[in-house]
Parts: sequence; structure tokens; C-alpha cells
Amino acid sequence: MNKKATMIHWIILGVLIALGVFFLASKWSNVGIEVKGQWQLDFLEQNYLEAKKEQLKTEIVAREIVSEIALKLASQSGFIEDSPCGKVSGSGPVLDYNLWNKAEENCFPDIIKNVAELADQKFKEKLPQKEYSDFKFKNNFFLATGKNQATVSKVGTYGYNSDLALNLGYSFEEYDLLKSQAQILINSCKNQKELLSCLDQQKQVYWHYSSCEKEQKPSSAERIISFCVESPNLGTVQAGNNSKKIIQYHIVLDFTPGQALAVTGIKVAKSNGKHQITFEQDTLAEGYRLHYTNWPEVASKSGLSADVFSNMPSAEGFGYFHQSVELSNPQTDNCPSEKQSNTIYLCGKELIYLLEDNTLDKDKEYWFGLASVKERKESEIAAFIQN
Amino acid sequence: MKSLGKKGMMDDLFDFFYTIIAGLFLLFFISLALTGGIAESQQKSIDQIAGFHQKDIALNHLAVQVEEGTNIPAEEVDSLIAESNLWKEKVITGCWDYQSSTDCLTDPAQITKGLCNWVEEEEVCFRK
Repeated sequence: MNKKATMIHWIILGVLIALGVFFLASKWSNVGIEVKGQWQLDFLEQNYLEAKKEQLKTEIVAREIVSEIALKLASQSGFIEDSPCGKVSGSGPVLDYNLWNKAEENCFPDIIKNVAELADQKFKEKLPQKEYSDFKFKNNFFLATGKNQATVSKVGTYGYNSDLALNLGYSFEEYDLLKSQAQILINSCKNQKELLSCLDQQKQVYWHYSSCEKEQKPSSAERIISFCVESPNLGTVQAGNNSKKIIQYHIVLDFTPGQALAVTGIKVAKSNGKHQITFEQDTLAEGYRLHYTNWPEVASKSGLSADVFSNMPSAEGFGYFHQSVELSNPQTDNCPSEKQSNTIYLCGKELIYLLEDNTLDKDKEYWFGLASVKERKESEIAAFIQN
Repeated sequence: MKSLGKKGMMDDLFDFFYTIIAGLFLLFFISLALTGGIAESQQKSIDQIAGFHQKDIALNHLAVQVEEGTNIPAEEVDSLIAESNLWKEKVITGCWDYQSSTDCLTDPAQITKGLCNWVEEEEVCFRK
């Protein structure tokens, strides 16, 4: 073979070796004909998408937890444990109602603390693999700080922030509004004898007696009143399959008056020199004090007896007097047709007292006023009635 | 210097043409193999991106529904995403993705198993 032919054979060999090297190199390197962006797609699918799924699942569970908290707190008047003011037995699904006040003491629930405490408890129970803390709420949002999470796969690790900010469509801040409304009711109606008419005037339309579905007006004698209050902003939370429930708060307020209440419905009738005084019973009064006088000015006066009679001319020349009689408050009905003098009788809802005072002149005019007595303190006298 | 004979020159010429033709064929097959492979890998990439995109959209649809208060159990998230389907270039993950009563009740994406119900007053498609 001559030199030129030998060269051609070497060239062919070289071309074949080059091709072999090219094929081997293209198989080993990533530049070949493999799918473009395979690692990136694997990372997105196995890490990013998985992280998003995990976040969504956590959010779903967190929403369930917060809905449960909202419903539980509302049914327990905002308390986790018993109210320091005590409880009264409830009806229907609610076993006990927590009082928000008692006498002069207010026991409004600390919602910020109670929500955080319940959330901490329930998040640990339902999401044990996650770590959440710093639970709080602002407007319609429930917020929680989560520990940073990571999804690990064979292609890499994707770290993400797991903090929660859930828009609930309901705000725990409603409790502040309810507290102020409850305070207005207590202040306005506590010392009113006609409690129910006062409440009817003062309470908001979404405050219902006893139940939101079937309102039951309490009796006129009741002073501890339970309310079912529908969410003022119609805040709803999830409750079971695709159903939303308007939050209903169960609240009990104590309207036991802090002072003796003025006596109303007084009637005075005169017969045979005796004065029959009839008035409405106040079941909360320990007793009554009947004031009578011949001072005509008293007809236009009302208030505490000490204040009313402090202005009465006391000089003998005027001839004015002021007398008072202590009366008990009978608890059982005792209403004979023949009534004895200077004895008090309970006839239905009315008290009847037959005053016989020999110092009174049957032809003269006198004025009678009644005050109830509670804890040795006299109530104001609403009006003086002429015989 | 030895001069080539006529036969030797013909052999060389044949070898030369043979090499050129062999090279052309080789290059043709190589280019064919590479072109086919690249097109296939491109299609694979596009399919994978579309698959990821569909799952991502399905996940976003579910997140919106959860935000709006639809009760979606956490344990159903994976299956709802996996069963999501493309219909009229829209990703359908559940009843809520249908915008008309006809679509809602006929379920053209065939993923809701006849569980959708149309509420006329609110104009929304609900899962029964």
C-alpha cells in the first residue's frame, strides 16, 4: 500500500474514533438528548408542590381548630374554665352558663389569653408534628407563628416559612363589643324594678332571651338573665359538611340590684279612720318603711326620706309631723277578707297594710310614701300619695 | 519515488468515495437520531411542565376554596389534585370550578361523579 492510501485508512480510523468519543461523551454528559430541565421539574414536583400541599393541609386543619375554638368559647361565654362569678345551669345543648358579673363584680373573660391557650392545646393535639406558637388574632385574621419547615426529596431540600394568617370571616374582637353592650345593660337596668322593659329598650336586636332559635322571655321576678347573642357582624365559622354556622354567644348577666328599689303602684284608701295602703311587692326587699306626713309640700317631692323631710319646717307653730312604720315583706300568700289593723298581708302580687294611727284626724289630709329596705338601706320614695 | 499504477489510483479513488459515502450515511443517521431524540425530549419537557402546571393550578383552586370556607378535608387534597382534569383549557378540581348550571350538572370533565348541585339563587356549583 502506498503512503497516500495508508493516510486515507488512518483518516477513516480517526473519524470512527472521533464518532465513538462523541457518542460516549453525549451519553455521559447532561448536554445530550435527555429531557431538558428534568432536575428543575423534579424539584418543583417533589419539593415545591409537596410543600404547598402540606401548607394547604395544615391550613385546613388550622381552620377546623379555630372554628372549634370560636364555637366552644361562644357556648361557654368566652371562658375555658368556670367564671369567677359562678355558673347557672343552662338549657338545651348548653349545660352551664358562665356569669359575666355578680353583684358589683365584673368577670369578663380574657379572650386573648383564652384563645391562645385553647389554640396551643388543640394545635398540639391535632398537628403534633408541627410547632406553632404566639397565637393571636387581629380583625378577621387568626395568626400563628410556625417553625420553619422543609420538604426533602432525592433531588434536594426545599425550606419554607409555615406561619399562619387565616382569614376566618369572623373576629374574636366581637367580645369587646359584647362586653361594652353587657356593661351598658347592667348599668342601665340593674337598679330598675321593671327589668324586662328596661332590657327590651336597651338591648340590641341580636341579643335574645335564653335561646336564639326559640326566645323565651324570663319571668318578671328573675334577675339573673341568660342571653343568646348572635354575632353582631354575622360572623360564621365552619360546622361540619359544607355548612357554616353563625356564632351564637351564651351570656348570663346578673341584674340583682345593688340597692333597694323604689316602691311603685301605691294606692291609698280611707275608711273608718283607717288608711288602707296597697302596693306592689318587691321580692328582693327585706322589708318596707311607710312614711306619712301632713306636710302638703311633700306631694311634689321624691327621693330619700332623709332628704325629703330635711326641708320640712319643724317648728311647733307649723304643726307638721312625719311618722314612719317598719313593715315586713311576707313571702307567702296570706290574704284574709277581714284584715287586722297594722298588719301586712300578701294578696297575689300586692301587699295590703291597714294603718290605724289614733293621732291621725279622719277629716284631715295626709300624704303617704313607701320605701323598700335592703341591707338596712332605704330606697328612694317614688312619690307621696294623698289619702 | 514510485509512481502509482492505473489500478492503484482507481483503488484510492474508490476508497475515497467509499469513505465520503460512508461518512454521509453516518452523519445522516446521527442527525436523524439526534433530531428525533431532541424533539422527543422537548415534548417530554413540555408534558412534564404542563403536568406540574395543572397540579399547581389545582392546588391554587383548592386553596381559594378553603379560603372561601368550602369544607375540604385535608386527607382529600392529594386525591383531588391527582384527579383534577383539563376541560376547555381550564383545570377542574371540583364542582366549584363549574360556572354554569349545565356544566355543573353534566360534569364534562368527569371528575365529580355526579355529586354536583347547582344553586340557582347564588349561581354556584356545590358538592352534594
